[in-house]
Amino acid sequence: MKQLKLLHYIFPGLCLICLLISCLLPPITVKEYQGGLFHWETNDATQHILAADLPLTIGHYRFIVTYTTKDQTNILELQNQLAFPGDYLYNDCTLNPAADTVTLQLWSFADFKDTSLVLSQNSPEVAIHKIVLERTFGMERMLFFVLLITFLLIKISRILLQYNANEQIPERRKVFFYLCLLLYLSCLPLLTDYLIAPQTLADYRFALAEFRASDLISYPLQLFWYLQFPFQSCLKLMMFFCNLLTVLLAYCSFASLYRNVGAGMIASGIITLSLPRLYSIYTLGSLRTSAALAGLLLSLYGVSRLTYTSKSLIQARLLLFLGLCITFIASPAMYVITLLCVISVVIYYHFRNPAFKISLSLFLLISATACLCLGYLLIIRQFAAKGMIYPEQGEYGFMLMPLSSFSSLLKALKQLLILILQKYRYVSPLLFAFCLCHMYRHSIGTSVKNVQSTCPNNKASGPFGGAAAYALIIIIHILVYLYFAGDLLLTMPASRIYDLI
Amino acid sequence: MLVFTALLFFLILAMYIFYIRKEDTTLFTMSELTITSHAGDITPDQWHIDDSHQFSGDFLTVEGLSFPEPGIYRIYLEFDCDTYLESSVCFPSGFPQIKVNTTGIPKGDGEMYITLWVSEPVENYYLMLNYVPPGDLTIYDLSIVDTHLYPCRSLLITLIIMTVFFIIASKLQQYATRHQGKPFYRCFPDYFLCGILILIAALISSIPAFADGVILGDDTGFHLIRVEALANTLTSGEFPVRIGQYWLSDYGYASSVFYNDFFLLLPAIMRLSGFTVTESWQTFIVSINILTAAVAYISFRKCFSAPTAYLGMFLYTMVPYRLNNIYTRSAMGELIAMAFLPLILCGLYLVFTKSPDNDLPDDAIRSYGRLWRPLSIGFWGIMQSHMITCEMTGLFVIFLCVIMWKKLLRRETFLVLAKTVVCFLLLSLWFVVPLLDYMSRDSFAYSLSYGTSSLQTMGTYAANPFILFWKWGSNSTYQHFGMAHSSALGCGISLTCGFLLYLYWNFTGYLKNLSVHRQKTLHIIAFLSFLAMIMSTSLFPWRYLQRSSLFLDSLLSNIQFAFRFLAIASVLFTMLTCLLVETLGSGNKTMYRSIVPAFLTPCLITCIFYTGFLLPNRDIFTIYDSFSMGNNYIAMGEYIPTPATTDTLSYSFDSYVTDHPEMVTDYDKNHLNITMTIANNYDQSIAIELPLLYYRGYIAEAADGTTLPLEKSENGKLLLMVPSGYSNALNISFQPFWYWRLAEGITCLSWLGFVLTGNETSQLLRRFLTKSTKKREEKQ
Repeated sequence: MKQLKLLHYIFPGLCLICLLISCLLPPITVKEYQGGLFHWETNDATQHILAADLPLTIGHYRFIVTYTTKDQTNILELQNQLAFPGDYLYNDCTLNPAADTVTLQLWSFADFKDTSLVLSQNSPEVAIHKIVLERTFGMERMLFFVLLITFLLIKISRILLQYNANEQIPERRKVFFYLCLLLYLSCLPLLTDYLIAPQTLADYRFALAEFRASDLISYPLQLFWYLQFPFQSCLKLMMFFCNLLTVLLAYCSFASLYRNVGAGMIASGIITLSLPRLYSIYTLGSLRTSAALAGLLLSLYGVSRLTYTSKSLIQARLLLFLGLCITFIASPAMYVITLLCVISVVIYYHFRNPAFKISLSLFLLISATACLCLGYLLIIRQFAAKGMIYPEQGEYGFMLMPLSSFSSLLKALKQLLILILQKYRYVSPLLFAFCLCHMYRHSIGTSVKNVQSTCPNNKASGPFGGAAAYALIIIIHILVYLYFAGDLLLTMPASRIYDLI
Repeated sequence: MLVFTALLFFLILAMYIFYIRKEDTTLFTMSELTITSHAGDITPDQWHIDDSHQFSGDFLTVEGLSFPEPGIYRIYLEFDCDTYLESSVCFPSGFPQIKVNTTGIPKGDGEMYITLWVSEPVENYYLMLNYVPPGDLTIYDLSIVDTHLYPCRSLLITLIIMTVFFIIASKLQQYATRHQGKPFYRCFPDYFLCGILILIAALISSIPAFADGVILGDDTGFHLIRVEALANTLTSGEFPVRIGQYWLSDYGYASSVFYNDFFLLLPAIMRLSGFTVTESWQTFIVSINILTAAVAYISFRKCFSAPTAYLGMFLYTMVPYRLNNIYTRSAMGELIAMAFLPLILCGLYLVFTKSPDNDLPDDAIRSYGRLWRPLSIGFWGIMQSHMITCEMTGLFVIFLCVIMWKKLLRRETFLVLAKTVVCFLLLSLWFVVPLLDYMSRDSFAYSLSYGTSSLQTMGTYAANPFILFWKWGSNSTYQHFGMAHSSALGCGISLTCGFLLYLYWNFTGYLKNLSVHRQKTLHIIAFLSFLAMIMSTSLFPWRYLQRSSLFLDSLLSNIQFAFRFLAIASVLFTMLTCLLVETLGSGNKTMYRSIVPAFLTPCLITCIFYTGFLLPNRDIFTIYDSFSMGNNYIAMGEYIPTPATTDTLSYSFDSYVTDHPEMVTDYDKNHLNITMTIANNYDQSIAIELPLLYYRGYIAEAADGTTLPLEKSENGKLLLMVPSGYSNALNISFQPFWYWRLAEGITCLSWLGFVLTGNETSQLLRRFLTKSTKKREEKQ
């Protein structure tokens, strides 16, 4: 018991306190190089040591360089003969003539005293006025955050292992193992020390835009960046959490909807490793669709809990509300799809298992989120009117169209339909999972009314084959995914982006 | 029958030796050739062309050549050329009955030959001499000879077939002796199935080797030159070869001292017997694949049932990393070493899992006590092929011994392992002594890399084990381009699934149903395989280990690439998978029948996909002869004596260098042997830099038996110090040290002892002795 307390409360609490302290501590100035000492006027491309023998230990550093230059050809970089690749994480920094200060960030994983900051000069005139070397507590923040996340994952594991108290422990363990494997497989393209640079990302402009746009979906990215993770790690963490949420929510929602662990496992496998979802994350570099899909699954989970569980209704409503909001923020088109899905599920189960009060409360809740999202839309309209954002090119475009006439309404609806059709591919695995789970439930002879849990290796066989047939479908699905992921890794070029300069 | 077969064998052997030693017959000398010149100064003594002729192209055509019968002919050329492989000897197309490559002329004043394989009589054949400016090109001599090697090829094949048949016959004889009363053909199905499956596994992994040419991997050029150097040096009578004479335009390179080329004897003998470079190389690859499959089967069969052993053989032979070593990296040493890893693993498995208790029958104790034999052969095989794999294997054996320290301290187990170490050292002494001698007393280029590279950047990623279809790619280091176009650096999905199955059983508690002994075995193998896998990735803290101490750094820098641990991981994962399948099969036959194909199918698909993808995407070169590929590719030049580097070598047929050239007369260099007459009439010692790389063992001996000191020059070459007033005829040649010869003798004796104490030999001897005693008694 004491050990559990330590693991679940005391250690995470300590980590949280340390994290907060490291966030509050200001950076320490290690060294300053003052004055206009570094001024050249030559035509040759030369390298100049700006600061030699930098006392760098393991940690996160910032070089704040004040300069004057007329063209964008001069580059700041670090040099150390003894350092192995990977000892320092940083990107070479080009001096921008439009600015007069640049911050070069460095993540150091080794102790060296003979590192130099070097300027590769490719233009006749460059003047370096001042260099300030600061040590931040970024590395410590990263460390405590990772520890905190580890404790969180342990907690999630415990919850998963305790999910269904009626089951034997090995069955729960099987599910847990399966979900972990799915998570690992879905994260395969992340298990490198670089980012896959897909065509559409074109030097991460898309990702950068997403990162800098201050909408809610990029807040986690902002948080990771604030915790001083290298930029590529921020993106990877975001992708990891998207995958984690998808695995968990797909399992929980379907297991809960079908009152069957096997159905949860099937749905989790199909949805998590669905090619459109991974294509959106890894090839298009779009986290929004995946986040919206996670929101959809969360909504479904909320609905299932509302429909079948009499306990903790508030919690279920909250889940549904949150899911719908996330979906709207991430992708309005997906929001419409989610609404359609949720309403279909509610109507279906209302006819099978009439519960007027619950259905009414569901519709009220859905309406409430729709109103709230409408409010959000109004804010966007205001921003758009002021010229602060340009949503016409994005998904919000159809919502911002003038609705003065019937034809314009039709035009907006047409655009919405096109968007829904575009997004349909991301939801198609969900529909496939529904079909499979339905068939599976009929095969193993349990129904919604029969609350008895069924393990996935049930030997009973029905009109749509036994559990082995579904296992085979999942294995084939995994193999197709592995082909896709392998192809992605073996063909896509690598980019190592640590900083936003 | 046996006597007749033996007689026939020796007769063919004698014929083979006769033909291989037969002197070449000259068909055309330079003066007999019909030539048409287009440029240059052509005289009966020499053909010369240079920049002043302002010509580029075929400056001379030799016409009217006829080869009256099929055979292997050679064109010998003495030349002096200013460029390396720019000017060349070209041959016309349209003569499908002649196999020959256009051959570049090396730089310097030297000799070369071009071999022609003529399958049908040819009339009116011709060749062209192509000149590419700048610089001079002079041909002093060109002659065409018949080598008489043509019958040697078929004789060698016959000898090999006879040996194989003899081995099969002896196995059948053994079977018949063991199962008295049963007809010998009863054992055919088993042997037939075993042989067929081994061949299938080997042939599937050899598909690209059946292409009409050599698939050029990263180091193919280096290994091909190793074979050529070995073959060339063998012709000069040096055995075992220490300094290869063909390397670096006859500068001599001690590749054989550092990189054992025992197994390259097969392609070298094939080359000497008249096979082309492509034929001998492809045969070599297929032979290694057969060896790997056979050793894997035999090893796994000692531990598991036949179907599991077959599964293990297929899984191991088709590991993507192994295929990558053949066709992409062309890491032949590592590849051969991988053939012996199953033998070591299974030997150790038996040593630590079998019980040597005294209450067992006598045979069991003897069998346990004889486990040092396969272990010794395993370690010997690795030592003869790849030192780095030997180092990595040693590391894991130490890990295992630490884990199993209690069993290690058992008298019988300790004895087996001690015998293994002693036997393997004795069998490898001929190689170890020169290696340690050089390593301890001289410095070579490989030592310069210490502390400059990190294994961290040469590791794989955690995604690698899950790559289903490896395409062909040449990218082995992920430092710059990530995994894009990566070569097959993984153990394959089947072996990964094996490990996942273990994790699943362990996590769900299934393993608890097994015996404690089996559980422990599974845990240890799984731990070691996981460790090897992690060590092959960049996740392992290599850079911290390398920085922790100089000794560790020098050890780890030798490994060069962290992904080399995939070889160890592959064999351990195969063992783990076999063990799991065997465990499953012991309880549930239906499951057993379905799980074997379940593991086999992805492995076969991956292998066929890889080899199928390889052929249309890889460069394939048809190489017939050695000089057509040059002789200067030495990879990173690890074995060059410092301070010389690959940048400072001249890569040409050079002469001696001295400030007083007039004191040297009658200079002649025949590969690694130099003869010259010296007369130093100056008041001081004079240094002569000879065109040989400095390796200890060279001796400058005068006709009267006196010797002159040889030193290392600042270019890493041999420096002859001639004292003032010295005058004599000198012969400079490489002569191995007495203790090297002693080590070779000990190895020979050890091999003799090893063979004589073998089961089969001792049985034969016992039978022979019993028979002769009986005969004597009958006579009496």
